[in-house]
Amino acid sequence: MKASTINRQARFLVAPGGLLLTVCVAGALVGDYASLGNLQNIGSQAAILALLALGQMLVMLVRGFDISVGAVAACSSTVAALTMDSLGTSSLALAVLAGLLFGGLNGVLIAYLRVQPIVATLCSMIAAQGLARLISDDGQPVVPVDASSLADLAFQNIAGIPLLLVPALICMLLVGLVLKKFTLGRHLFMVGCDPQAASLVGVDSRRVTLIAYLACGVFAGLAGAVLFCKTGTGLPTEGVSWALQSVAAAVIGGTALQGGTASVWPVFFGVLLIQALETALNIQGVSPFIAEIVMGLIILVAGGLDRLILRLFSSTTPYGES
Amino acid sequence: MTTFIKQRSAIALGSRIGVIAIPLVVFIVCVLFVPRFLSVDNLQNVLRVGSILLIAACGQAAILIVGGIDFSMGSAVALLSVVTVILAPEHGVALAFACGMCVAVLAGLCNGLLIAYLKLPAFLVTLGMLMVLHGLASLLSGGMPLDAAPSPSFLWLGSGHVAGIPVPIVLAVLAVLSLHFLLRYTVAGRGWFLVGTNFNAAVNAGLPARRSVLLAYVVAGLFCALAGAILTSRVGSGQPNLYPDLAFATIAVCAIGGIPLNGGRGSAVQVVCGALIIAMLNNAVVLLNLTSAWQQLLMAAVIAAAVLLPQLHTVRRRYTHLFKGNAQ
Repeated sequence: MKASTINRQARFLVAPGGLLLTVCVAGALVGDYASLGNLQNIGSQAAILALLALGQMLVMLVRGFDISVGAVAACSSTVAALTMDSLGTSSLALAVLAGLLFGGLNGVLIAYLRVQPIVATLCSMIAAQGLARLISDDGQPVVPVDASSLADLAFQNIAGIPLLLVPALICMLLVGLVLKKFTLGRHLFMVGCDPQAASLVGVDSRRVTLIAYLACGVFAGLAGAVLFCKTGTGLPTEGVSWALQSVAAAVIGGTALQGGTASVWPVFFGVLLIQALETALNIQGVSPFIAEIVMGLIILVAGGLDRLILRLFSSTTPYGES
Repeated sequence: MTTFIKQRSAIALGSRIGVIAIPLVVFIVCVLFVPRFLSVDNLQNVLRVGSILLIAACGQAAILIVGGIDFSMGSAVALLSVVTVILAPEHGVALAFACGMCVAVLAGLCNGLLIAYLKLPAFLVTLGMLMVLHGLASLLSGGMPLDAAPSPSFLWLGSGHVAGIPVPIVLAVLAVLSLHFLLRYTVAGRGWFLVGTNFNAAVNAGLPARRSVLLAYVVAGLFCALAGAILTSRVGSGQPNLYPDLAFATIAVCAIGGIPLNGGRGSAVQVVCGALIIAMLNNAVVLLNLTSAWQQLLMAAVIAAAVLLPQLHTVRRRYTHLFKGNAQ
């Protein structure tokens, strides 16, 4: 009983600890690293990944995966860019709607038609890439004629927080609130721990799973809108590696691969850790390819840490059931 | 009870016929509606292009059967091509290809060791490996494609002929036969099915379950190395972004062929059928002059259809109560 409490706390401490370590070490090595400007820069870089990782965390909580988030974000940024001229700012809402549609597709396939999450989201990943190519000029970036209303968004700060990060922060607050205080949140945890047991006590586990994928799709669509605000263009072929990074952030943030364990803020720290590390390597002039290798090793280590924590703090850990 | 068994075996028979019937239907549709599809040259082209995917998918199938998954194939192939092209001028083509293939097998070995013995989740290990290997390939090549010195021996694997048949097709047939032999007639291959169905049961039954998992990843590394060598020879260059979607494509092949991702089931025939469907459709899309956007949308639809069609009878049974009004 006590062991499982320690286990639960320990896994959530990895990301904040790693972030603190990275910022301290990089701050000591590079003069300007810990300055407010650079930290704000890291924050605004993290805006997109934070939204994707939040969605990824929700579907991982109910024993799923979503490898389509990057493609969906790219697709919805294209949708926003295409409709910007005719609709104005409400094109951003259309981007979110596109995300919602793909989330719904994933959710119906996985929850109601029992397709395995990897196959279903692979399917919608390819579909989102195809759709983005179809509506753009075969993958060329879409530049709206008049994007002046977006021009300053990328560099504004509200009370020291980059404006681009605000949607992600609001979504995190909402998700955190739902997970802690609402029935739906408890149901998400129950379905993640044991879908059949949840069904036996009257939880509609299919509906709960569908809601998780819908939310993930909405967040991916929102990430696409943020991408559009940041760059002022729709980028149909962007985001290939984002799905991997969002999984990495969620896992570093203590989300269990086998479902049933997740917390919002550690995931956010996981996102910041990835971004802080990338920035640190970048400032040091390290080749981006080495940065990529480091990122890969971090994902490996994240998986290893999960195992290590389980082994340290629980008595028996047979393979495949933990 | 008897009717139940009859029904079950009918379904099993149906799905077994379905596995072979669907590629046939796709073939007939292509012949009827796609101009210039039915010619010896084009069919040979379909097979030659499909052979790389087919060989790599054989590896993915072995891993899926043992209950794992491999996302790192695309990067392993890229690293293989870069290493081969770098080594080829100094050490000769044969040795260069051997070294390149060793790299891909080593990647499989690393995956297997981490997953089987350190008990790390396959999903994360192979994702991490995907990035690490891609980083290594980019680092070695400086991020740019490296062109190989054109020589007939370098290009032989990809475009040579053995007794009038293109080499890739011969190798693909050999790969499929060896996978079939492994899965059907060897103790190790039979063990994969038990390990994939229930790891703990396999351990309790006295199987060397960890070694079995490791072996599956090494075998997959071998298949992946073969596919990568053919691909490198065909494009005649080493590229860090050689075939980034290879892992996803092979998973799609297995899904279309009807191999479930939760392990314990699968056969070489299913891999062949999945690969043939994808190869024929890709070829048809090119012949019909459709853009790559339509190709991707079609592929998504085909994957969805392939996964959903075999489930139709269970879905109907599961939801009949909605229409009759008696919940089970």
